[in-house]
Amino acid sequence: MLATYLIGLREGLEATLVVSILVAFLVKSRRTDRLVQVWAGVGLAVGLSVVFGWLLSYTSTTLLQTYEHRELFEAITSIAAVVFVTWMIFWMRRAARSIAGQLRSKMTDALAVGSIAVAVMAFLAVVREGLETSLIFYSAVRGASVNGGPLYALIGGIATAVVIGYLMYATAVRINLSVFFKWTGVLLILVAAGILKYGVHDLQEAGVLSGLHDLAYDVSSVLDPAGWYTALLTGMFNLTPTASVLEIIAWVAYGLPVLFLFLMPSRPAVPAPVSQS
Amino acid sequence: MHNFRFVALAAVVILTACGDSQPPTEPIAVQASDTTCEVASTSADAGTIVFTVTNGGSKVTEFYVYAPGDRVMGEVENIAPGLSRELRVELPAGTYQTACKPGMTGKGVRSTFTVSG
Repeated sequence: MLATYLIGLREGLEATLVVSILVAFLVKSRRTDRLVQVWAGVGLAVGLSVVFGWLLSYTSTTLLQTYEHRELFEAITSIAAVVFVTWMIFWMRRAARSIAGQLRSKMTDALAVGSIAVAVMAFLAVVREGLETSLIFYSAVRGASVNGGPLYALIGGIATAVVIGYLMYATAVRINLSVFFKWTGVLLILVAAGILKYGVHDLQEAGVLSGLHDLAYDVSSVLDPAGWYTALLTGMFNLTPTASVLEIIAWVAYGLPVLFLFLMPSRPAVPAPVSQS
Repeated sequence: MHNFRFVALAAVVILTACGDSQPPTEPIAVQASDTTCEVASTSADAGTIVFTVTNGGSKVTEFYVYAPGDRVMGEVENIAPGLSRELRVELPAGTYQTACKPGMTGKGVRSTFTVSG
């Protein structure tokens, strides 16, 4: 029962973390008008996952049916998600700078956020693991005639992930604006590096990249793959008990430069021009 | 509302597009526990092979099909206790290994699986 709950929690966190940061960011930067697009992206991703999961579980559809196609689907959506999240990270940096330069009133203008970009980011964050979650869900539904436990445990896990996402949002919107941009930015870099590592792992599993068994480390004796803390770490940062060398190379090659660029001190603030109004 | 309409439309498009299904393949049952991994058949004809993996154990398990050198041909993760999940994989003629990984760790419980062309 706990095992199924943890699967729901992990799969759920992979989606809710990015979405809750995105929502917090829009609320903090006073772009709540963009929230509609975020929820549209989330809704579309959930809808597609539910429909595809149903088709694969109950019909003989040929789309995304084989193992390789599914791994590729997850790899491509994950890597695309990293692109959008990276763009968001630098968007946060710009926001942080405009506060530092005391141009806070102009921040909203600087963040003329593309509504499609926001929707696509929310969509990718949810859809990349949505199909797998939906397939687990239907297998639990089919087993529910014998034993409904796993189904409720899975739903409970996903619900917990949503609650954690909400709590993160509620905490984030309360903290000081410049602290918010700095720390959520750093958090997001860790999340994005994890998503990239995940994408590389899937490309290795799909056979596009080799070296799946060349492990950089194996700490599964310490980090129990069945433990609740592993579910949390994997769901949030994709810190897995084992990782291939290539996964770690991707993680470092992405994470370090982005972190460096993000934290690089901003140039001395240009004195704010006197408002003419 | 707009979303729901889009999804419904997408569903119709996909259903129509996938009407021409290939001849049904008989799934091979795999019964997994915390220590065992019983594959109902040890051989099959080349082509798309479907494994239906049922987890009767208490740990989450995974099921793999390996080519020589542990190259992953197919894998299904997140098989929670009490659940049954499907792996659909293209296998050309050759000798493979099937493996269940109770607890998602280790080399797994292996057996040989032969595919003839």
